[in-house]
Amino acid sequence: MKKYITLILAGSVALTACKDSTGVPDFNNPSLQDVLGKPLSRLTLQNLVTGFVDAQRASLGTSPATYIVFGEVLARDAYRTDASEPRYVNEFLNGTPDPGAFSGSGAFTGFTRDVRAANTILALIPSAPASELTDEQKAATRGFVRTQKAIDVYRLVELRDTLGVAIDVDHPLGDPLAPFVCKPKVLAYVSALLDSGLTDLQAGGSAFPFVLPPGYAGFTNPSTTFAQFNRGLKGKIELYRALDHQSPTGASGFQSAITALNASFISTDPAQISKGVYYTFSIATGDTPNQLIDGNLHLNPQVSDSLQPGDRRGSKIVTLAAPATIQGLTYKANFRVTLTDPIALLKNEELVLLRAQAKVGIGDLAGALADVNYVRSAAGGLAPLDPFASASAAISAILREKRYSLLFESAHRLVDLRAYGRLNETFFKKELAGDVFVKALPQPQNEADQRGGVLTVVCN
Amino acid sequence: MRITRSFVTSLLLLGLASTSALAQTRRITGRVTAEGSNEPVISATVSIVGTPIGAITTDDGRFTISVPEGTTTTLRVRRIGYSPKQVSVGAGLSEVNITLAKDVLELDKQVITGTATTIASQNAANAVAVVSGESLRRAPTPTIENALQGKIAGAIVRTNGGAPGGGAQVQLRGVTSIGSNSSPLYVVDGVIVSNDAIQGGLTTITQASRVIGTSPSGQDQQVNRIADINPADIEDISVLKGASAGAIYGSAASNGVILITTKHGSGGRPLFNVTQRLGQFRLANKLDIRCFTSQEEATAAGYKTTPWQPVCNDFQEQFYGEKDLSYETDLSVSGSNAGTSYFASGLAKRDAGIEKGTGYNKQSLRLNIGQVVGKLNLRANTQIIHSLTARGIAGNDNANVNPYTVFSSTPSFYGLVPVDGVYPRNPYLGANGDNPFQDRDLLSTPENVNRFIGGGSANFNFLSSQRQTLDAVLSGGIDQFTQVNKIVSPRQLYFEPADGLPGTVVNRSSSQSTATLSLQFVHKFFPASQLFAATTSAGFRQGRNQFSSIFTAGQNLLFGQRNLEKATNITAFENNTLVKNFSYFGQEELLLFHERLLLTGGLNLERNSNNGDPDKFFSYPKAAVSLRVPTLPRFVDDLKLRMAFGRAGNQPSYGQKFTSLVVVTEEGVTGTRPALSYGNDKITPEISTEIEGGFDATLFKSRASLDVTLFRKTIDDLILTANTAPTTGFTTQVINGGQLVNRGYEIGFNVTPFQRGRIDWVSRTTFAHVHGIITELPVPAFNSGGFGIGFGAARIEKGRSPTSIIARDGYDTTFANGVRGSNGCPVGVDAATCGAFVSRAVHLGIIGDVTPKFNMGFTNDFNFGPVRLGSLFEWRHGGYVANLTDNYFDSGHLFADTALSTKRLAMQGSAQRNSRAYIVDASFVKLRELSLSYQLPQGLVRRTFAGAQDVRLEFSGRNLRTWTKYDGLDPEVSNNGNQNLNTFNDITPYPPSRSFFFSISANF
Repeated sequence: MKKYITLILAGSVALTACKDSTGVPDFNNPSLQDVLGKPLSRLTLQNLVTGFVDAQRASLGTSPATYIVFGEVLARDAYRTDASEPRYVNEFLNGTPDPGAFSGSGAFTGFTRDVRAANTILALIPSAPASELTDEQKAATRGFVRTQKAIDVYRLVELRDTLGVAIDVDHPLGDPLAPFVCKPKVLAYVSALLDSGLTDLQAGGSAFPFVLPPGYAGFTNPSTTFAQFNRGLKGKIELYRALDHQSPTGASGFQSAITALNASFISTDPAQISKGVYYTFSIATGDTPNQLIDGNLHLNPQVSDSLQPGDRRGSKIVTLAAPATIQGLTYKANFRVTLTDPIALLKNEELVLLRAQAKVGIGDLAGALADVNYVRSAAGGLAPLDPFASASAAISAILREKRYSLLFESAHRLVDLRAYGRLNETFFKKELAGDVFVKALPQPQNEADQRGGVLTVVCN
Repeated sequence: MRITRSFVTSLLLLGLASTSALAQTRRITGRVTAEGSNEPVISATVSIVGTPIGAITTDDGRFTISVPEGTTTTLRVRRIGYSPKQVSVGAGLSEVNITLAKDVLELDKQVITGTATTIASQNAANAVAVVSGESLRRAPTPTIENALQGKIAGAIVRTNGGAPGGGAQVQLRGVTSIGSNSSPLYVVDGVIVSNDAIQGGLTTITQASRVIGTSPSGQDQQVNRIADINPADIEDISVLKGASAGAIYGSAASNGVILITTKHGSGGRPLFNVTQRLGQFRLANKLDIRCFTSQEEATAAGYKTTPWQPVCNDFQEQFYGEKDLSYETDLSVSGSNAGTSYFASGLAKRDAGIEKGTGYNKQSLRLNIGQVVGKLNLRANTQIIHSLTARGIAGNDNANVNPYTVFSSTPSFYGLVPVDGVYPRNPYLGANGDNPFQDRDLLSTPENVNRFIGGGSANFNFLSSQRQTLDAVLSGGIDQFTQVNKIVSPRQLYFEPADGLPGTVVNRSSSQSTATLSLQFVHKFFPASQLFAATTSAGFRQGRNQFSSIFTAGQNLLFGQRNLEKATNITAFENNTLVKNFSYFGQEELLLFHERLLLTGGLNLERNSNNGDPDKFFSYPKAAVSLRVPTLPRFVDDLKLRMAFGRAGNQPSYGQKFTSLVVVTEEGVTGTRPALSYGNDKITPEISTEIEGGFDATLFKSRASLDVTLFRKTIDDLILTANTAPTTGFTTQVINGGQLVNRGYEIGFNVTPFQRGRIDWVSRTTFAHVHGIITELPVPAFNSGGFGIGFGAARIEKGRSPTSIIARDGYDTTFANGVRGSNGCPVGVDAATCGAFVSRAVHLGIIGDVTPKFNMGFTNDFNFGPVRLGSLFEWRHGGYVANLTDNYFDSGHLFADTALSTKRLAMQGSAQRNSRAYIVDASFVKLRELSLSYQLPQGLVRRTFAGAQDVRLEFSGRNLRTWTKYDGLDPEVSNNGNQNLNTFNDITPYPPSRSFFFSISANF
């Protein structure tokens, strides 16, 4: 009988084992479910905002900063020669970018992820109880997020150009995909987003209910300084809308750009030349260093060759002892950068040059000259230029200044060369035999796959 | 749940209902000897057919057994290595002598059917491959997977690279998952052991994943941990190739189960064995690198020739030409004594790498003890292992530090070997200046593993009568290891200042524990009518797997600094996982018609914490039948027809059910941002349903045997990390869906073409073919992994093989008159017909499949008295590899065959866009093993080796020769380690080596 008792005991072990708890939590990360569907607290808002701006910084790309490097390679400012990654040469300067590889599909998902992060915050704002966020603080938050989101959408169109951007993406995964909207509509959307952001900011009081990274220093008052940042972005968008021959077309478009720029933090005080919003980098644990540090990144010889003697902006350039040739490309200089150098998101130097471009658009060559000469003097320590002989000469001069003022800061030069129809054999030599002057990156292969290969651009 | 409990309870009650009743008995004694030599056969099992009663022979081959009074009794005698035999003992006889013939083809084996049940191979309903420990050790191997290569029909064992210490993937009956675990389940003496590959952080140096200092990546050239098991301890390995055999292992058995049984003591007197091996690894294959005959030629190839030397450096020989001594010492003792059996072993080995400073050191201790206390049978198996592996730098590299990457851009006239302690700075890598000889001498990559595997079982016999037995088996075990990786890249290395922070240190410390506990009851019933014998087993099993790992990396080291303190840009990651599972299982085996018909049915109900619903039980049933055909032609000794069905699962990975937020820090403020992958809180296991059937035939008086198996594996509810449209802000989403079907067949043919006296020749052939196809896919076809479409990506597409490679396949060109061509006007159509060129677009097509068309193994053993000559060839036909290494050398114009380089670059380039230049057939034949051994004559042994019983000298080699059209280093390669899909990339690997060993083995 004893043995049977043992047996029954053993059997009951089997049954009680079943009572052991079965669920296992996520040990490694907080999860989306922890945030969604709960009233937004101020602490969570801080986490989400920091995550959002950090995501935007990460969207510049890593090892190297692909958004900037792709733009600068296509704009003939840079070479990236890497024995183990020849596609920076083969696909950008000697062929076409592969939509299935990091090259053609790159500098994309970061921005769309940022848009999702922005939409998540926007959707959660109404859920915050008044004890956590006042209506004014909610408006300030909305204004901030809308302004920042505009940057991400614009960066997408910078690199994809006429292939369009999907706008209506704030839907659960699994819903039908948002159509690609044509470039004019994208720019109009960005412009309107900035305007609605401005309305929110103006109702947003004098402080954000969250802390921003040090790169936003001087721009932390929603209704004043950050609103000026918003207008700076608006002016940039309006300029490229005008250059793209869109509504508002012609002079009124350029005028609208000038109006917005003048409402921004633009200044012709030499001391204010570099005032602006910056991405900052750090080598503290968990933080991210500047991703332009890259032994394979070199300057296109045009950049070092056409630098005017005495230009203080030449400090960004390191000339090599001897030229080197790799993968059929010869370079003589590199870009000087340290791990903690900030990268400008929008600075006065750029605003003034954007205004010069807009002034050329309305035929105000003298006004454009004044703006160019301000930058030459304040940033480069150079003598003023003589009056421009023509609009074309003015544009050439502005693009030259922009190259040195905004070197390795964004895809600005690619956008300008394209807008002025200068990215071709008339203005540049072919870098390699197969150089076809790639003007934009394709939409990623995964996007095509999910849409049955159809990447139609909708324009109504 | 409730149903399950009552199911188990009723099984328990069934066991209780029987009572024991012993009839009158008489004793039979006897002796078992080997045919021919008359030597006693030790530890043979003698049993009465149709009852559970049995005995085991002693040291001198004697046994005693009680049989029923007054009837003729049939005894069955079996011993591994001999053909089983049945002997009829008349009613009046009390003594019997039995001789056993040698089973040269190893036809008789015990085949595992459950966690505590086995059956003789003559009845087995599954094609379970059993490999004996002896055949694993013919030629020394770095790890056990290598020892299985070519020996099992249906197993493809792929070596990931040539670096010391292993790294190999076993694939049973094709790819059986897309987004989940790819490894078979490994079980050592009933304890589930980990075969995880933990990434050591090499990517921080090579930037293979293009992210500096972030978490470890799959390109760390990591080793999967089954490498720790000592092949010398293994008694045998059973390979359950799929769900039909492994259903009892539930949600971990979809990729097959590899059951390893270690040795146990038997046979009384202690038997000591000493084996000493000494040998060497040598570079097996080199790329044909260009030598420049003149400065002009080098200049024309685009190289700066100011430090011109009219020499040709053989970088590969200089770098991979080390021939240091490798050794392996095995000591073991085994025996048994009054209810106690023991096996103890020690191993010390070093495999010296062909690159200076690399190597694999392993020490292990094992103690297996068995103790019988009345009706209680206790067993404990323990093993302690330490290994130290240094593998250097290999594989994908974006920092120009991998030796082959450097060689692919450095012309051979420029010397890299240090002169008087000065390492020439490499002028051909831009500012980087890396010299791999400097890295080799100053950069270290040690990986230390300490592991304990311990298991025990207690078998209590409640009941033992002539008609039935009831046993309770409580067993459990733990596999616990820590792996510590450290990479120190000192600041003076030329490549280090590239990022502005010279010097890098990487630490990774990981620990894992896998624990299993099970209790089950086994009831055997032999009715008096002798119509059938029934074996019922039921029980439960609980498992827990916990992993935790901390990774830190820092830069900007002081001179001589080897730790993280005071380093800058410190990154830190922590990863923890916990998986819990619980299952009930039951199985019934019925042996009918004088052991001619076997019917088996079983069910496993399991829940797992990785599933979306951790409380839901999933069912994994199985059923099998085998029939030994009674009437046969004269030349057929035995013919068995078999059919088996089973279902198993592949559990989701930890974390697949969560949608994470990534924690970030920016200027001291922390935040969370959405991750790019979207989880699935409803995820369920992949369900693999397998049906297999075939026959086993023994022919010509056991001189030959043939087994043929056809199978069909259907995997439903595939776990897919499906791509999402990037515009949604997510790149991937975990889903269940789709179906994959693997069909194939396996043939084993063993024959003894010649056997006379002490001379024999045994030949074994295995052949396997598997073809997988994705029959359903709920998402659009997608590409996964790869290095850009130019070098192919894994293509998951309905109607295609899951291991398809998609790549560029020329252009689709459109002409004015509506004609379409692949690349220009089609051949045979004149230009006028085509009309003007309109447009062209790159055509993407599936141009290869990673899975080979078939795999064959040929083993031949010749015995001439004391001399044995053995060989094993493996032939893998088909299977494609993307050879990026060749592309690197072609791009640098550094291959000797410049015409071929030009041709391949033209194919790959924008003119043709044809990826076939580098995605190539990797068929091969390899001489895996060759061994020649000599057993010293007894007389000589007695005179020279005091106390030795027998001494064997052996000369053996592994991977001695490869025949292939593949133009790279080794057609067996996987840059990304063990994977389901992306196992086809050859990117500057550690080159292959061949090994030679001389061994002396003595028994005392």
